[in-house]
Amino acid sequence: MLSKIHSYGLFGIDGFKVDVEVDISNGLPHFELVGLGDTAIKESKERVRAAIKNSGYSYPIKKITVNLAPADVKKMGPFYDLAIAVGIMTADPNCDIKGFTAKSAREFVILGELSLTGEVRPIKGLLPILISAQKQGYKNFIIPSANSNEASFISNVICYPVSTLEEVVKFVSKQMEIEPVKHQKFVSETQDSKNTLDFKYVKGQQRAKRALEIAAAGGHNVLMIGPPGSGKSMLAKCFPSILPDMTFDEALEVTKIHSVAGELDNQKGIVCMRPFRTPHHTATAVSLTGGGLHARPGEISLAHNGVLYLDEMPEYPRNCLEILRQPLEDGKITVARNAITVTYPANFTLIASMNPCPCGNYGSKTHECKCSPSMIHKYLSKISGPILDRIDIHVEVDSVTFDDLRGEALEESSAGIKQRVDKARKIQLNRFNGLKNFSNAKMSVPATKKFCVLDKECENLLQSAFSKLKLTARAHDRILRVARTIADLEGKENILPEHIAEAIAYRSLDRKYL
Amino acid sequence: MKKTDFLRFLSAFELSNTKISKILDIMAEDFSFEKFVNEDELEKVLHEDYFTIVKKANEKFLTAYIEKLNALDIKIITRADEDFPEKLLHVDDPPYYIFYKGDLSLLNDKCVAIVGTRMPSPYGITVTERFAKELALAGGVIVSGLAYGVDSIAHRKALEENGKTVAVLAGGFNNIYPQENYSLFCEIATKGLVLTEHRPDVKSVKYLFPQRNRIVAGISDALLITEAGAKSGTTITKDFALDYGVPIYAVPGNITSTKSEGTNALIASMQGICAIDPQSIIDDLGLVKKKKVSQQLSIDEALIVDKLKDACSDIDEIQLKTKLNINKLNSLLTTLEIKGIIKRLPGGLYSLS
Repeated sequence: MLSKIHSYGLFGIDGFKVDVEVDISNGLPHFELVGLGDTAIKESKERVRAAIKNSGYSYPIKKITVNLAPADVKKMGPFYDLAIAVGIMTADPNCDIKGFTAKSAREFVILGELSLTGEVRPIKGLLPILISAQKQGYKNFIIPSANSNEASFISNVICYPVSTLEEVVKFVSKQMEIEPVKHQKFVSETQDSKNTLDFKYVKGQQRAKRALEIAAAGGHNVLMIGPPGSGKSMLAKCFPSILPDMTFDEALEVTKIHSVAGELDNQKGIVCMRPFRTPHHTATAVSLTGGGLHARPGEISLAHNGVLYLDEMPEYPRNCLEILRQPLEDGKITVARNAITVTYPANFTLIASMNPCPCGNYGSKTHECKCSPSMIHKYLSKISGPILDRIDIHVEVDSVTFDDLRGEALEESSAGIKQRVDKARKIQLNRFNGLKNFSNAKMSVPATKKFCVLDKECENLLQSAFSKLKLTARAHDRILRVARTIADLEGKENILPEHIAEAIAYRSLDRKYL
Repeated sequence: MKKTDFLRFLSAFELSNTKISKILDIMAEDFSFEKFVNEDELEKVLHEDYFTIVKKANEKFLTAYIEKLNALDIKIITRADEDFPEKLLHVDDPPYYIFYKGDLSLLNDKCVAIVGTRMPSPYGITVTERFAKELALAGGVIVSGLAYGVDSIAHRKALEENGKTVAVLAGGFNNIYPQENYSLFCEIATKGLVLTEHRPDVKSVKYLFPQRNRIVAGISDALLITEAGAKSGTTITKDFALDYGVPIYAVPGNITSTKSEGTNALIASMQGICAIDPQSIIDDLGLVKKKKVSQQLSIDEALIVDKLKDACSDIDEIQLKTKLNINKLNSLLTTLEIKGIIKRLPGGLYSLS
């Protein structure tokens, strides 16, 4: 007998429909699985057999052929265990469970991994599968109960959570009712302000704080340059606390990637905080971009809609930094591997920090630098021009003096800064309405021309800045975009000279540094 | 052949001045290639180089060599030429010829050498710029060695103020050291003067730097050391200046700073004149300072300038002193910088320029 069950597979961060076809015919007992499955799929044969047996059902002692259609797409991961088990049981001519037929099972898309005991285990990447399946018109799903939180954020689908194979059989044959997953409303979260990572605990560093405020408001990339112990890492760690709230669309995109990478918290089911990724400088290029056999998403994709923090940037291998060029420009990365070529979104804000020289004290007021000019040159040149070109804000962080540390001066809390950031983001969301662009930093060249109109006074200022301060041409558009964000922070419609002047202050590495 | 052409010919071989003077003695006013080739005495002077040089002793080689220099836009002047700069003759072990690019007449003006450490502190940068600017504005020619730090700051400042500047190289024109200063070298070559004793392909090796310093000190009417540590190449320039009787000025520094040890010691030992104001050097050299046009400042701008009078400060300090809003302060500082009133130093420090 033949049966056909609907299931779904994963290609990158998109789902695609897979039909699980099972044929059982007379012959020597044999199990054949075709349809370009990977090892996890080939091994499902053993899991399925044991799960059916251990759930108290009979396993047909016949020639079983399973096909995963379409047959020309490589399939990975143990998504199909449950569908194969249901397929085998319904195709078995000796099956005597009333109402348990392939036809009744085809009302659902069946997803789940089986354990030998017949339990249904959670799968990675359910959310992207649900989103794709829903777009293709599928409504009813049988999913592992451990994944139910993840499923609860997708509207227009009915998901029935199951925890054992037995439940599936009973549910499909209408012997048992299962409560579908309740739809949850998305609530954005910010880094808990009760913990120590709050800007009110950062003494002094007014310019750096202001720069981070602008970065958060406009999604600009930041490079902090300062001696060791000046608080660069602390500032960066506080940065998530002022990031604007994620919209539901943004959260879905992030969750898709995290779900595929298996980094999703099953308790929450969705990523509701902007991700903050801090790969160490021993990271390899592949771990940053994504790759491996299954073209898994890398750190830069996991930082999508959030922050990628590179501490001690010049310590990263050159190739690791250079591969950031394309994603910083396009907001996505294409990972091509033998088996699969996937494009992952990678629209992140880059926060990087570095010392001004190998010993760290160059330009310090209190400490003497021991490096030779050529050493400093060598150190600074580890960050190539094209990368610097993509960083809008360079800010120097001075070492903190004792007076600053002991000072009673009250610093503004993150919550206060966040309010301004949120307001500026709202202006931008209105501005880029329908442009699939969330921030000033990602403005295209025509958009920059359109939204960053300068009056005569601003033009003059910019011109004299270029000739006097010896700025490079690459700084031009960066300055305009940052000035746009500064104007947004003040709620101003037009860019004023003071906004331009402040934006210029954040281009220190474009000038002659030595 | 004229003596000057003969010296040009010799300049192709990097001979020491002692050897050149011996050769000139042997040639005894007859500077023809025939005599040069047939003179056996020369072998004793030139040793192993003799055969290579003799082989090239012909018109063809000389024309090709001069043409090559012309193609590189390098000029050469020898002691036999009438307009050989007078100042170079008074240098210790005076060179027989000089390769140069730019305007040689600059050496006839009042020249001030500004030298110092290759790694100046923010203070060193500020004072170097201040002195270089004032001296250049007063019409002085800033002489230095195109090295990192004080040297290049002095050159740059002079160019910025449309002043005149002279760079003396340790090596040849095809091996600019440090390489990072290549664009600065080009700018000086067109707007000022660059000179060296060496043919273009000579590398700037260690032992050439003291030789270069003897020229720097020699062509200057005053030597100013803005910042120098106890052990510094500046010491060599200073010693030459002492020999020549060129007045030495030293800018005093913080006595706790190792970077000012050299200059402070100069002042303490009375070898150097304590330079606290560019005006004193300008007066001593008999230069006249040009009047500067004062700029209109807003109240806030004037406040910042006032707070920066004592010392350079970072932005947090300025903010504490002025109580201005950080975003306002950021933009004010940039405007002041564009106006050329304040200066941003590495490490985010600001000082008056």
